[in-house]
Amino acid sequence: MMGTSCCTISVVYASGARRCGLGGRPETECPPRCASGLLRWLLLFYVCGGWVACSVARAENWPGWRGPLRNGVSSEQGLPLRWGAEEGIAWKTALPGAGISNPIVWDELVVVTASDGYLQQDLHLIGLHISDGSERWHVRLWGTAPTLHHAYKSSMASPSPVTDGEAVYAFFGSGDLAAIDLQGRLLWHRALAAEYGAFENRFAASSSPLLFEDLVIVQCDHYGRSYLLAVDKHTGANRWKADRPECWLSWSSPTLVPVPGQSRWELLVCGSEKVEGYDPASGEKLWTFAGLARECVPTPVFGHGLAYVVSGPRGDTFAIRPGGHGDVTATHLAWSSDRGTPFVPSAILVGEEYYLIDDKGIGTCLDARTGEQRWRRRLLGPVTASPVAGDGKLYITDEEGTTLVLACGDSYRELARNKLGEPVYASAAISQGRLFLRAAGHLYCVAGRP
Amino acid sequence: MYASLLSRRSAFCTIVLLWPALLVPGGGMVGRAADVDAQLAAIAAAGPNGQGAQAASYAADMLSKCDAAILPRLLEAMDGDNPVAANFLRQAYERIVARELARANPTFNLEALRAYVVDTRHNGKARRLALDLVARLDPEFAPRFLAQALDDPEFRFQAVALALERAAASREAGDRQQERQELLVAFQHARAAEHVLQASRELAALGEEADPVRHLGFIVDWYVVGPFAAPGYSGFDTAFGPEQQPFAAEAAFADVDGSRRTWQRHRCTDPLGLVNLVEVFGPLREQVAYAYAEVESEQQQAAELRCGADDNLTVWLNGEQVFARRQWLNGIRLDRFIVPVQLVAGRNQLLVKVCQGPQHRDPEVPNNWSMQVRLCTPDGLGLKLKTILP
Repeated sequence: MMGTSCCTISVVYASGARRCGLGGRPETECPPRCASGLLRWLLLFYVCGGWVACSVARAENWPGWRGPLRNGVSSEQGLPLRWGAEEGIAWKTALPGAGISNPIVWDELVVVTASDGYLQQDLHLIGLHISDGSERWHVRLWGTAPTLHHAYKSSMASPSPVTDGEAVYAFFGSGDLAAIDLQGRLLWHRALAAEYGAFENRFAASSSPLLFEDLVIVQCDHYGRSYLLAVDKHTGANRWKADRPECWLSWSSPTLVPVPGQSRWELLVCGSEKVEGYDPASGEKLWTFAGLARECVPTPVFGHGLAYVVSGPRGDTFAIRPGGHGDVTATHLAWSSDRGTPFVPSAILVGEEYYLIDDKGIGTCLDARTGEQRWRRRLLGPVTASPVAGDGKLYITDEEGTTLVLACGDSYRELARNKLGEPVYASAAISQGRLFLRAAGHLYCVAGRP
Repeated sequence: MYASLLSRRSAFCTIVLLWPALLVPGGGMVGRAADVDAQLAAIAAAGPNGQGAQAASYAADMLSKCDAAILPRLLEAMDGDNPVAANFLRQAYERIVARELARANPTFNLEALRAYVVDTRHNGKARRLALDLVARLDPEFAPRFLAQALDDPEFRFQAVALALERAAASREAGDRQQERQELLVAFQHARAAEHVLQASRELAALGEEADPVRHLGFIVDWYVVGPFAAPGYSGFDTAFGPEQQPFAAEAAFADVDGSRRTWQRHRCTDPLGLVNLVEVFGPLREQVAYAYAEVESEQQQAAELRCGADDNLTVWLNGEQVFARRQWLNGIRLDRFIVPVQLVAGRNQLLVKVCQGPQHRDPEVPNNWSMQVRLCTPDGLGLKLKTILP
């Protein structure tokens, strides 16, 4: 079943280019061709990634926050349509403590993070067998400086871990960044709160780490001294650190986008009323686009040559052309819309449609190329989780654990409404034909194709 | 004296630890005591910026093969101020514990573990770790220990919570005298605001006065003056009249538009000493206000100034700036900033400057303007200082 390692590595190393294969609509700006680190990836992509595009119905890993492309979209087929608390569940495993990080999947391994204990200072990384949910290993760490957090919707385990198939890199709201090998052995640990000051955060940090070549990149925006940090994934040592002295609290996760017509990537970082483009290799700030909310949570997505950046509530979606230098606010905007902007859930781009699910459970569908509204309606109760999609289905889960399954497309079509019967605040994962739902006390594996 | 759980195997390993020799057979000879020293040293060398991680990871693997008799030594190695090393040590500790617990007859040096838990000189997190294991092996120990840990820097919170639970149980049983006693104990030892408020509230229901303000050392008696117009974020760097001259209650200051500003007495009634400047000056934006207090200390003493403000604050003690933070859009949180200060014997003057920034672009977002200041011991108990404002 497996044999997916090399192709998923390609995804992790250079997710943007995989977008070409994913949507079945190659985009001219996708493949970077110069950067030495990406040459290796290009080879992998054409040898393996292309194969994946043709055989995605078999298996695709979900290696980090919002999946292989950091956008919530899976290329798999045969995904689940209907389930219930007892129906259609392949397995269900009790989890300790709290956490809204999404599960990650790599071949036979599912990894979840959690925190519990006094002040939420006990951090957990738990490796489970994908076949039955049994525990393979359980790593416990002390959080260096736990912060305030929301009673239900956050903990020290809000950021999702990420893996390249060699190690799992996990970041916690206590300011701890650690690498664990796939057997559960601690490889390195950075106590960022001890090195650069405790995070000051009223809902606990939730920015998920990002892998770029041999770097692990974390965004540390908080009330104190904010910064972006890239460390060597093998040693944990700093490769670059970009201070963000003008920034305050945000929970958004950085993401990579390819620059149209150029062989390079840009790192998009949202927070403090702006989104900024950085050189992911050096940490150099390249451009700024102003107009976002004071505190940003959603993670941008990319497609059609545009970066879709949203922050709310009562904010805007901006479709921005990557690239440029300095203040690009007036020059790089393709379109904007003030409809349906969420505070917490990230938006999702599937083909020609851009979907926003706000915190109250109201959905808005926009034309991804123009921003024109396709439909808007109440879908569910309050929502914290970000939507995911695959196999032509859009999965939206509310805080009560009800997942609405919609058909992707320009018109509204409900396919199913599935009640898990347990609160859900974490975003789902899709892998190997299954849907992984992390509820308040359990991880559910929803069975898909036989 | 070792507990009965200590087996011959563990005794052997402990002897090995005490007299350098073979350490532990845990599936084969692992190493000598000197090797353990070397592994512990490798872990201790791990630190910031990923330093020493590879060696520490290997050392944790090696140590994890040791017998459970090594656990007290691992715990002692967790003392100190190295969170990275402590986490590598924890990996070895957890693996040994898991392996031992999976055996038919787990063998732990329970007495050494108990001794570690009760010794307040050890690392608090490591004491909790040891307590988790002791609680499994000796279920009666934890409640007994926690009930007595009212002054324990690590376990005070749980001990006070237990006292509050006992008070509630006494109330349920109709024993008012016992309830009062438990609440007084809880209040006296509480440092967490929620415990202090709960005990105070429940004591008040019994007709007993317990003042959270005094207990936690909040300063609630102030002179305030303002507002002073400070466009945008200019307030932090602009020195207005109150910080340019010694305090005088009758002083008057002119704002930029010529308005006259004078000190006015303000005593806040919030049980946690929150001074709401919006209530004093109105829902303004881009302004600065000052607050002034005098307290009397019976002797020269070290203290902690714990403070916070929305948006930001600067604090002078006896004319010397002791704290300033250029941070906007803060949101006030208890004890956000902790500053060691020295109080002089007799009169101590506190001047606080609080800036109010621009309104959020969303008019529904409240533009709070407030401050909270207290003087306390390092464990958070308020200094019983007398207000001597003129």
